[in-house]
This record gives sequence, structure tokens and C-alpha cells, in this order.
Amino acid sequence: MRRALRAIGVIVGSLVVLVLLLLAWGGQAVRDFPWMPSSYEAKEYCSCRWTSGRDDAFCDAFVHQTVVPTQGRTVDEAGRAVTARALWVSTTARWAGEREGCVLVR
Amino acid sequence: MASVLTLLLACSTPVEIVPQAAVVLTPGVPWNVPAREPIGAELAIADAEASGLDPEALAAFDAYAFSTREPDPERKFQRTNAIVILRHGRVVYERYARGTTPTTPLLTWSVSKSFGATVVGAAVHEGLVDVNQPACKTLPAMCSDGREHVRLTDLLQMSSGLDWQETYETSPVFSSVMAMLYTRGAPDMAAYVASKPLVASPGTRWVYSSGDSNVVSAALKAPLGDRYASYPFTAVAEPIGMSTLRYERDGSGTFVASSYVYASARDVARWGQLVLDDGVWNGRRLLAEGWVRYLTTLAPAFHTTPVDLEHHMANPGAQWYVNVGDPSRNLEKPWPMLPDDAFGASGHWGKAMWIIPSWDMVVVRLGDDRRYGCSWDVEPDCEPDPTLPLYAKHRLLGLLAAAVRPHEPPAPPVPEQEDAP
Repeated sequence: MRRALRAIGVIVGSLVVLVLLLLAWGGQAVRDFPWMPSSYEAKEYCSCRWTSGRDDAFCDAFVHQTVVPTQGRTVDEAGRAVTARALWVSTTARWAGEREGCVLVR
Repeated sequence: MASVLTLLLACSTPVEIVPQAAVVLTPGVPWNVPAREPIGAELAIADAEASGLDPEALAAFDAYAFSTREPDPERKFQRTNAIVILRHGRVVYERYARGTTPTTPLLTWSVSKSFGATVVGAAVHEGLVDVNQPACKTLPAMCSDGREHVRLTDLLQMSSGLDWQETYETSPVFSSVMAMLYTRGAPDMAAYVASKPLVASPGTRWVYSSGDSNVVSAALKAPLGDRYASYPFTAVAEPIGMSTLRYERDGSGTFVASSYVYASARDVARWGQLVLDDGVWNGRRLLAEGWVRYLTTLAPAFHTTPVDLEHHMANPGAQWYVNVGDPSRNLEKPWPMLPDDAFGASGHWGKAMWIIPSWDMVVVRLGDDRRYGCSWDVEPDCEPDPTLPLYAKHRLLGLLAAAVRPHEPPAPPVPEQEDAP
């Protein structure tokens, strides 16, 4: 019994060390990742609509993501801004002008 | 695991800097630039057959390039948006699909890098920057921990030595480029790239890096000052009539040279024509003497970098790609169906421009392909499944090459005699 507990302790301890190592290695990237799908969708939808001048149906298909499901998109047609939501995070991109196109805003 | 070890080593041991030879810009290009009729606000159109394109073979090229299947909600098939071919500076073929018009500004992804490097050539022409200067000279973020040795040419030749992971959808979590464009890097992309540790001596290791392109873009801010925000337009786009150019910037106002140049296919072709003509447009020099030769000279670090399968045919110049191969290492030319003097710009999702001096031709193909047919880059001599209309670069170029016949440029224009007063 004692030996079994010790074995479990070693395994659990090793896993904890492994997870800590992984976080230390990729921590920043892992912490940042939730922003990526919404940022991608906000920026590329904005650019598709107002930098490239395409319509909503075209741009909806253009930015469609297959891996991470998105949780909706708010489009401010008059202000030329778009807010996308994915992984419980929202990101906004805004059209800055004809030559400048779109840029992510936080 | 290898990258973890590299990173750990990078943190503990400073990189030993190996001095690199200075770049000397040598005027002229290694091809003949014929005298041309001036190119106006509207591109001239010429008959394809009369310009040396075989009609039957061109029809086969056209049928393949536009073998789009619509509707295509899963984005499974070839999705060509636009193709424009110029020969002798005139449109000999163009076609658009998927709602694209001759004036739609199209996303170009990494074709942007080659435009960014073209703009640098204008700044060099004005004497505002020198490719041999360290990026640190005008960008303080590049002034520490060995980064002060990184020159603009090292960045343009994607051999800065900064740590970088260029992966896209395949590994988004640990991708440096995704973080630069969409998360940590978005407010100031050059600052994000400059925060990466130096893991190789600048100029000795070639690694495809979108980060390097944006550091160059930011390094132009100080030398250009108030002109920065308008410079790509006033120095390059406006003089050549590239009126559909849209050039997006990051949160700090730096042009995203790695990814966010938009222009119509016709306007991309205009820019290609400028480069084919050695940086001279209608008799006016816009880019430094020798700049086009520099862009299309193989990056020195490529010769000393072990090639992996993914990049074994990359043939990098300075933000452009050439067609020379590396016989000493048994590396094939990337486009064996094109003449040796062909070079090009290349981006994600099937966006590309090829410039073929010995054909006096510029070819622009802007697609939105999310899946490709097989690629000679990773599977030499493979052929894509003919029953699936998937885009394969070598297939498109093979069909193009089959259509092109030798053709002399039209006789140079005779200068008009001025009327006697």
C-alpha cells in the first residue's frame, strides 16, 4: 500500500513538474491564444468589407473558421467597425481610412 | 524539443557574431530592358496571339486556372480571384472570378513583403537609408543583446538570426506570425519581433520570417519622419498609377509589410512591370540603381543554411524569390518550367507574381485557395489529382510555359519631332 502510494506520488509529481515546464516554455503563447480567433475574425472581416470592398456574404465565408467556433459578430456598418467573439473573448477592428484599411483596436 | 534546447542555449550563451561582407549595389540588371511606349493611366491591351501566346495552349491555361467549383462553402477547391498577364508592358490576358473586378483591392498576404522591399528601394534611392546600416540606427528596440549587429540587409534577406516560428493554421498556438498579427504583437509588431532573442549570428542562417519584414518597415519611420504614412503611395504607387493600393498598419502605425498590402491584380502587375524595368517607370527612376539586382540575388545565408523539406526550393533573394536552385547541394530550381531568369513574389492562399525577363512578361495570380494540390516543393514531379480542381503552382506555370512563344518586343517608340516655332 505504501509502495503504491509512493508510486502514485512520483507519477503525479512528475506530471506537475511536466505541466509547469510546459507552461514555463509556452506560457505566454498559451495565455495569449484565446485572443487569436476573435482577433483574426475581426481584423480579416473588417478588411474584407472595407479594405477590399466585398459584401457581407462573401466576407462571412472568407473568415469562417473551422477549428474554433466563433460566438458571434457585431458589425457597425456606419462606423465601419466589427467586434468578433470567440473563446469568450471579444476583439474589435476598425476601418481607419481608404489607404489605411483596418486595424485591430483593444 | 529542438527549439526548446535552442531557446535555452540562446538564453545562456551569447551568439558569437560572425562579421558579414557589406552589400554593394551594382547598377543594372542581368537582363535586357527594352525601350517602351509610356504606360498611362489605363494599361494598353494587346492581342495574345499577336504577342506570342498560343491560343490553344492559353485556353488550356485559362480552363485550369478558373476551374473553380461554386458554390464552395467548405473552401475545398481552387479559388482563383484574378489573373493578369502583361507582355511587353501590355495586358495580353486577364480574367476575374468570385466577384472580383479589375479594380478590386485584393489581399496579397506575403506578396506584401516584396512590395515592402520595393518601397525600401525608393528610400535607398533618396539616400535616406543604406541596407548595410544596423536596424538599431533608427529603431532602438533593436539595440540590445546582440541585436545591434542586425543590419537592414539581414532582415530583408530573412537572416536576422532572431528566434522565429513561421507557422499558420497548422500550429497557431506557438506560431510567432499569428501572435505578431493577432495577439501580443498587434499593437506594435516590430517591438514584438525585436523582443525575440538572437539565436544565430546575423546573415548566417536563413529562416522564413514575417517578423523580419516588419522590423524593416518600422526602421523606416525615423528616416522618413512625417513622410512615413504617405511614402509607399507617393514614392511608388502614385508614380506608376497603382491607384488601388491599400496598405494596412499595426497599432503603432507601422506598415505591415509582412502581410497587409492590398491592390488590384492589374495594379500588382504595374508594380511588377516597374521591377522588371529595373525600377524605372516611363523614363523616371524610382528605385535605387542596383536595387532590383539586389532583390533578385540569392541571400548569402541560404547557402549555409541546412534546408528542410518544407523550404528546400525556396531560393530566397531579398523578400523576392529567384529560380536558380543550388547545384552544389542538388537543389532543384523552384520553377523548372520557367526560364532561369524568372523571379517572383509569393503569398499564402495561392497569391503570387512571377516576373520573367526573357519572356518580357509579368504574371499575377491572386487566389484564395485554402487547400492546395500537391506541391513540387515537398514532392518533386508530383501531379495533382486531375479530377479535383485544386491549385498547384507548377501545374499553372507548366500550362503557361506551354503557351509562351519567343516574341520580340515592339520597336522602341520614335521620339516625336517638336514642331518648329
